[in-house]
Amino acid sequence: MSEHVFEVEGLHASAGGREVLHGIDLTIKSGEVHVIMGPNGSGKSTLAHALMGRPGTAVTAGSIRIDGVELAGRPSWERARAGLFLALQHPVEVPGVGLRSLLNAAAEGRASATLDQRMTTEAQAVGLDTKLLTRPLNVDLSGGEKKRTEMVQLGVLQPAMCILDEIDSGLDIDALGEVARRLQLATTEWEVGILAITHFNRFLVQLEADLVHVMVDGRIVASGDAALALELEKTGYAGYGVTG
Amino acid sequence: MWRYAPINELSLEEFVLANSAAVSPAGEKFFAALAQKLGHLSGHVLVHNGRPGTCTVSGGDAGFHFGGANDVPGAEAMVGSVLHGGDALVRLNDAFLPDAVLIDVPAGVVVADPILVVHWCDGDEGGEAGPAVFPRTCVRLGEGAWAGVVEVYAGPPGTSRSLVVPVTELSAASGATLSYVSLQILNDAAWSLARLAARGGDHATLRTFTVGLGGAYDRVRADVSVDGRGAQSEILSMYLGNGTQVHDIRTLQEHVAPKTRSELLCQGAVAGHSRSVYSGLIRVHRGAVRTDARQTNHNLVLDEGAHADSVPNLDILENDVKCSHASTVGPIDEDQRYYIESRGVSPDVAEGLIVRGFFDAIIDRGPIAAVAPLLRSEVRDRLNVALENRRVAADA
Repeated sequence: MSEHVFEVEGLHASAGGREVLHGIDLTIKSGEVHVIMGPNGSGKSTLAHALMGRPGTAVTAGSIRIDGVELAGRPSWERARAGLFLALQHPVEVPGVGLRSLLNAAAEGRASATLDQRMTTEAQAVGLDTKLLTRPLNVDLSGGEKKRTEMVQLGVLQPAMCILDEIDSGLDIDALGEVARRLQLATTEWEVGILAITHFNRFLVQLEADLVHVMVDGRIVASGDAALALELEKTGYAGYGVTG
Repeated sequence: MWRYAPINELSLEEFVLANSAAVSPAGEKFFAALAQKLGHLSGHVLVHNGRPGTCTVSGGDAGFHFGGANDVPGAEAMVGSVLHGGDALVRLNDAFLPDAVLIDVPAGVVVADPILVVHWCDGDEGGEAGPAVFPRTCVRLGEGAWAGVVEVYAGPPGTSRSLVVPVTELSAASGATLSYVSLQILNDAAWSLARLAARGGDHATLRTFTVGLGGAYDRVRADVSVDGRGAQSEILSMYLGNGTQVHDIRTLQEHVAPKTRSELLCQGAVAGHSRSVYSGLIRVHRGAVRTDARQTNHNLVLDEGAHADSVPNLDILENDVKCSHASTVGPIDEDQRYYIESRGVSPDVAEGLIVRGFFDAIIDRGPIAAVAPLLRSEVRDRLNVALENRRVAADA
């Protein structure tokens, strides 16, 4: 396992023509789990998409690097090849395209011989019915099945750095546990670095956070260990100038 | 029924009635290759300019009649039995059809494998005027019978013009299940003006899939009527346009009896400067209570010069019914593109995956699984050309 470092420095980004992120700094090393919590509208999802390079989310200043390689300004597929992976809150339905075709294209055919076996192994690891592997991407899948499918992709692609955009939303407690356990295992299996964006504390029961960041109005206003998440659970974001 | 269509550009004097007697070696070759691709068949025939050759039934006596008008008992009762009257094109077909392909499956007979009907449409070598071809196919299923029929329309490649006016009549008696696929892969100079008419009796199932890939102007009018109580239909239609092709799909879902269902999906893409028209009508007759009818049309517009029109219509004369229609016209979905690309897939490859998937999604629903690989490869060959043109245009 090689050591990777993911660095975000002074990141400003806008969505829909409006600046949403006003200077974000993060350093995440291989095997570390960072959690970002914050109220609605604080810019959490914009951060996820600014890091991955979603069209329409523009980085206006700052830097995004994996192992010193600048990713800001590069298209999402190049960022993915550099080692970034984003698990979506709402994985998109793509009719007629199977998971296998997607992963085969992502691996540019290199993994073809072992792909089926790896998909099966990863599906079993998160309790996903292997029959669903041949379905078109996310079509007619439940919320839990979609998130599990995202984990299958993560496990097959084994990126250096995984961003989770509210992957815990809409999951029942069993699915949540399986997804969290899979992620926890990945931090030692290939030492993936994790940036988990979440509303809720409950995700952290099974996924040990090394660092918790509180995001308000497009800035990180506090960082601390897992105790910070527990405190937020009790007191909310009122102490950070957020009302209501 | 002709809105948006370039029918005023048709001049019949540019065509002569095709010679349907001579055998075409090119047609024979095409036919043999195709039959091999489809694997097991219960019957097959090569039809040259509307006149069927030898109708071959595999495995001896299959228990159904298959042949031309002189070979099948009661042929005169079959031709015209589904289509009552018809428009000018049907009249032309009535007047000029050299013969018909008749498939008559008696009550209770199950025809295990598809029956393949290949129409080879060509002109005389060196002939100045293009050939006009009037193929007619009639399929009749008795009570509880089961059969699948595949029709393919093809001709010489290149730029020779032809006018092909096929009429296909399908009827399924009580409890019968009739599956039908047509594939039009004439050359890009051809005019294909097809009419499909189908009727289903009590609790019959009609499943049709019309695919238009070739032709300068490709028109399919598919009228599917669920006449008997509890009858159901699934009507699929697919097209892909490139260059300056026009694909024109008109559908009618007719509900005559109570508790009938119909589900229609028309899906296609236009590239280059091609154009498509989809116009569909759901008609619920008085008395057809508890009708459940759905109509969906998705159009992918791959290039700026291409255009798609979608015109859904409802004509409902009964109260206790469930009808819905939905249609989309637009470019490749940005969210799908981002999702795929965010896995490390380059834009060109992502685009190919999404567009092929769009077609696979309807091909996989087709009523005759054995034709799916053929449809897939025909679509992919044309799609590769369309997507390559797009890349060249983007790089220029």
